[in-house]
Amino acid sequence: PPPPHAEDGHARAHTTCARMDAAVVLVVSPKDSKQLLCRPEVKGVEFFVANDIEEFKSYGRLKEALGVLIIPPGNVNVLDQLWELIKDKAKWVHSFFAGVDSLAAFTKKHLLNNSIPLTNGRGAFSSSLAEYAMTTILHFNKQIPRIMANTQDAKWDKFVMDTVKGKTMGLVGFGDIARACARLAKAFGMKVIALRRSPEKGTQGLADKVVGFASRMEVFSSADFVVSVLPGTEETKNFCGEKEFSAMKSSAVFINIGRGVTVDEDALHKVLKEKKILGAALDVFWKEPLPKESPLWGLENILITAHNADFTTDYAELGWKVWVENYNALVEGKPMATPVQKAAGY
Amino acid sequence: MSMASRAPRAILRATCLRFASSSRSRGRSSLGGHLWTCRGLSSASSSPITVPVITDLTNPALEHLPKIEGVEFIIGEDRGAFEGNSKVESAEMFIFIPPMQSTQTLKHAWESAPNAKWLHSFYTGIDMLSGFCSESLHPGQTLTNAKGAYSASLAEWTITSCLYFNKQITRCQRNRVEKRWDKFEMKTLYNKTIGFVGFGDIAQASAKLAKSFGMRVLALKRNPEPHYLADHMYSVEQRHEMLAESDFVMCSLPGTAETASFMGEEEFNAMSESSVFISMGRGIAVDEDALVKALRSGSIAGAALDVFRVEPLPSTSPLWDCDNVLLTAHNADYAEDYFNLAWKVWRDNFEAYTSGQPLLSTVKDPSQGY
Repeated sequence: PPPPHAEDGHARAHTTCARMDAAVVLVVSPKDSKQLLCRPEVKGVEFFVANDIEEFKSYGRLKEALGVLIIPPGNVNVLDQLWELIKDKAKWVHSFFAGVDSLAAFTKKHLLNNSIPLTNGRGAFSSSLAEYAMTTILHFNKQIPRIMANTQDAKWDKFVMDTVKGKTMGLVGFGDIARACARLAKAFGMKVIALRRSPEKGTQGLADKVVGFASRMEVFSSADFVVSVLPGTEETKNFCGEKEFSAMKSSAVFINIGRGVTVDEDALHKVLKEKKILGAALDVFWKEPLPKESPLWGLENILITAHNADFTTDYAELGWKVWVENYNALVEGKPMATPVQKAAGY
Repeated sequence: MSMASRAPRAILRATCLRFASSSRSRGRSSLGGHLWTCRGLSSASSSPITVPVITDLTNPALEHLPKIEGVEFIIGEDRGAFEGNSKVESAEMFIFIPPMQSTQTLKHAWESAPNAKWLHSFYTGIDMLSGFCSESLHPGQTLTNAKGAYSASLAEWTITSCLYFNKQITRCQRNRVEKRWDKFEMKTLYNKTIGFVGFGDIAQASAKLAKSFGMRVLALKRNPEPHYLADHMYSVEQRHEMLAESDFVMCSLPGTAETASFMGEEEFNAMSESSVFISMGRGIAVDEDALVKALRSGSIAGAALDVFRVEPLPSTSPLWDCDNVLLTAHNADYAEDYFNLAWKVWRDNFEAYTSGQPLLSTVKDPSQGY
């Protein structure tokens, strides 16, 4: 019988004979990954899924690989050896999700000095994250914990209910997610101030004000809700720390939906415990899962989620959609849909 | 503005507030309250315009009484404040600020004024004026209210309620207390359906926000003409269809004879088991027993309630014991500028009236009750 092809965890009823001119895409992923369940059939593409180097080496068409797709929690450690084997023909690397921090070492070693595009799944998850950011903003603005306690205690408490209209959202970082947040903020009649590395690029009308690194404190001091959407790079480690939190209003709320490493968790814990800011909502952490010993769990003025703010039903579908867009761009010779700035890491 | 403590103020039964004309500077006074100049009044007008204000003297709205050049407010809570007062008897414009025990004072003051043309009811709900409107409001006389004033805050509350259930906030809070890393699948509002029972200002403002989240909007109205904000409009007869299709149902019906218990057992049964009911407007539109039954049996997933048949909601109400509800104290629109917003609506109508233009928030058919 012909050798099996396109092993991907599915028990196939029959093997398909690979067309010799089908492009090969290597997928670094555990075979039982949920993301693989809705992998689309892409004409002219043969996927090979594996999570260790030996298995990749056993694949007969390895050296014909057009590109590599990494789907976390795929084993990024295989990339170094894998790339050595395929670099003569390979043209493209794609990270299924937006974060490429786990690929930093690989990118630095193998992709910086060439024009091989590194693309990612950004944009796919932005709307769910923007919804989540608004959820946390309204959670604190409307005093949801107070209402929940009143309901428990059968207490009729006609308190003055605040509104978000006219309040300021401060965005730290201005990528796709931040843009989606800004759009929603505007729908609520909020003001938006954004911090980005290159303020001269503007905000396409999405923010009322944009500042650069030198003026970053203005974002922290003027915002009622600081939404941090920074990627995890060498430069963004602990970007939000003691100074930044001290600059915030005591009525302000800090929200992190980017990467945990961009927040100094000790400093944040301190200001929350001392009630120097009103509250915080965190979806991402230095260590995930967040260890039980973390004092963040014990705070009353915090909303914690398990890096699942964008863990939506159509999460996988959206991710594949972006991959297909980039694949089509590659084969049609057009600019890639979601290229990552390799040196910057995002 | 402190809502918590309000000692009854020691003020006279009838308080006259008279303001000198144009020597004051225009623009806002810095000490709270607003100083407005009215374009419609000529600075040469000799006597101030009298505006009787019928309300309980302890009403907090009075703390934000505007200062307007050429306008004299006469505030009273009983007949004695207005009887025999020639200024009241020649007044054209009246203001009624609920809540009051009865509308008797209003009726007497209004009927003593042959020139009475315009009554402004301070808030949006006019349910307590139904008797007054049928007995004392005659053709040629207009009733206005504050419709639209609170739409922004209530629209925010609609979305807050949707997100509270959609993102499973109670689950998140429980996880935090139990220190549990629970990477559950996160739902989104995107592509979900919200059905509006009643489609006035509040619902329309909510629909606009819902659209910005990519939600599908359905609506139900007495007169179901298509509306640009609704993807589909339903008649009252078609209500069960709409309810069945909706992931979120938001009811903002006013309190009238026809809306009483509009949302009853059949309506809650028509809703899907994963759906959420949001109630603002008037509590009388909801059959609370049927609602409790639906919540307990799981025929709906949850409810966010801001209005009730009896307010404050008695502690004996079984609604307090349901664990899938978010209960607010008719304060979803009780924002800091609550009173200023309402005064602004009166002021905008006043400007229109004194410039000979149509009033802005006319209640078109008071007999309908909204």
